Amino acid sequence: MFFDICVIARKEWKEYLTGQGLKGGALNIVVLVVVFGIFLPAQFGPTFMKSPINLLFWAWVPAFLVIAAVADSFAGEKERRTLETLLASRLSDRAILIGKLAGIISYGWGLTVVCLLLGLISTNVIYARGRLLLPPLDMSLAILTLSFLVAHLTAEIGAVLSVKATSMRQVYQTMSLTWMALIFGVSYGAKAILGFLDKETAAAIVNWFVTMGAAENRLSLVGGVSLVLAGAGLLLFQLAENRLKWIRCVPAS
Amino acid sequence: MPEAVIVTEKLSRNFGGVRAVQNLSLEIPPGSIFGLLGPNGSGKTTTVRLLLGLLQPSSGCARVLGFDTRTDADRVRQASGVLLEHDGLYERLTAEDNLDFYGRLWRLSDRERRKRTQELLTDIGLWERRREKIATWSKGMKQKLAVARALFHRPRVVFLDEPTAGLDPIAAVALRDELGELARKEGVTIFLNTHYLAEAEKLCSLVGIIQSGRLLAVGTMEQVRCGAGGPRFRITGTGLTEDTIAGLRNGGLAAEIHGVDNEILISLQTGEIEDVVAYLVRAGAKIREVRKQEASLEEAFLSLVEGDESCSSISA
Repeated sequence: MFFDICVIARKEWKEYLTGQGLKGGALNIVVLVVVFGIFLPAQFGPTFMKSPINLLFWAWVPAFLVIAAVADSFAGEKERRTLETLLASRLSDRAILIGKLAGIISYGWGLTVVCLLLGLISTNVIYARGRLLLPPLDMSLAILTLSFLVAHLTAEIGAVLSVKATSMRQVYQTMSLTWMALIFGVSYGAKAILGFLDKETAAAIVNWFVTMGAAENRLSLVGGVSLVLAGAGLLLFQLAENRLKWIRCVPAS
Repeated sequence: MPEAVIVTEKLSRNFGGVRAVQNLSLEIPPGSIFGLLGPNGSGKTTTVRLLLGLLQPSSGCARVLGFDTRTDADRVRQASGVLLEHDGLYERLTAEDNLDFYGRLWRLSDRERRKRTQELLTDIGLWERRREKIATWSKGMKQKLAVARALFHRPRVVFLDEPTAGLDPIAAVALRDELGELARKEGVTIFLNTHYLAEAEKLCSLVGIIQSGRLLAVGTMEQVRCGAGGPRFRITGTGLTEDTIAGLRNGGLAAEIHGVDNEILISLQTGEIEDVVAYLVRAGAKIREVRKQEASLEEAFLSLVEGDESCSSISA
């Protein structure tokens, strides 16, 4: 099955590189890498590298990249009537699903890692002045883990939504709106909760988040979040696989 | 007799209250091109999906190359090539990349993929355009490429669902020619869904006629033509008057008679042509020629489908 997964992932990548619109295209990929890997890190400088905001930013980047790719990969393939022929091939549903997810995650997370490395280089080139600027090790590990899990979870959600969606745009819009709702919901929700607390407690909480407490607290927080994301990812994978089986059995419209 | 490649026994599939395929029994020998003819919505696509194991039958069973489609669907698809209703080609990729992708799926070696790509694209006249993204191609070119993709891994059986649908007449004729040539060259068994009778007449060694999910007739072209009604004869001579024709009609010898200028066209019901000739001679006619006429596939098809529709409306 590993070979089949690689064949599907390879095809997905070929489509990213040659595609237009929602699904990449070589020029789109270059633009994304320049913006996230050079422009933004250069704008924010060394603070950006060490601030916990960094963690949230690099968790958001793969989601941003994956939403477009996953909408195109499942719903788009259904819309372009290529999924039916793929399902009628010798491949199992699982190989198709994992192959597509591997292509999407390697695209979203792979580009995030490329942007991270480029960001590191460009920050050092512009701001280092003879000393090497590096983010803390625990922060780097947390970024890599969280960005992978976010890419994975977003891809799974996209796969689940796509299988029953009527169009690629519908999936893209639903996922974009969900992410926006999540970001604004968390921001405003946190603000509202802090408003109910007394000033001292609220300041302590804010301070904890800004400094992210001690490194061990940070790691346990990231570990907890990672476990939740991984668990949700597995559940969604099962759901997506069941939905793919369902699509195989539904007469073509 | 060689073992049949496709066998179905009382194969049925219902979608809710709709009986899409009903008691379909077929045997298709190896190397033949079988055409399943029927109007839109008659159950042709459902039959292909059942044979590929993409759908589970509600009752009955089917075997393709000896594999049960309910329990060995993966092995059926492993040994089959498919062109469904839509070409299923990746428009952002080139023709070469499309074939290469499916070649990899079927685990052909690099060398084999290159060789096969050149062989098939040359056969269908698209080798020079192999590096073009197929989004810019005409529908006819895409369908040819989709047929090549279905044959790429040298399957033993190929399912083609309306391969010429939506093509202009010239492109359709060209694709039919290519298809016939490729089928002969590759020696595969082809299961072809179509509602174009000319396509079936040109390509198929066996045909089945399906209507409302029921197989109305199956056999060689000759058997289906004859099975659609009794044999037909053209009789020419003198003295074939209105009274003589009326007598024939009343005598119950013929199912249908048309008479024009000393010539009658007669479809036999139960009797033999000798009885008809004897009757005409007794009635004073002088017979010059009796010629057996074959019903065209179109006449056979219409006769079966319309006959079935009238039966359905009577039973309803």
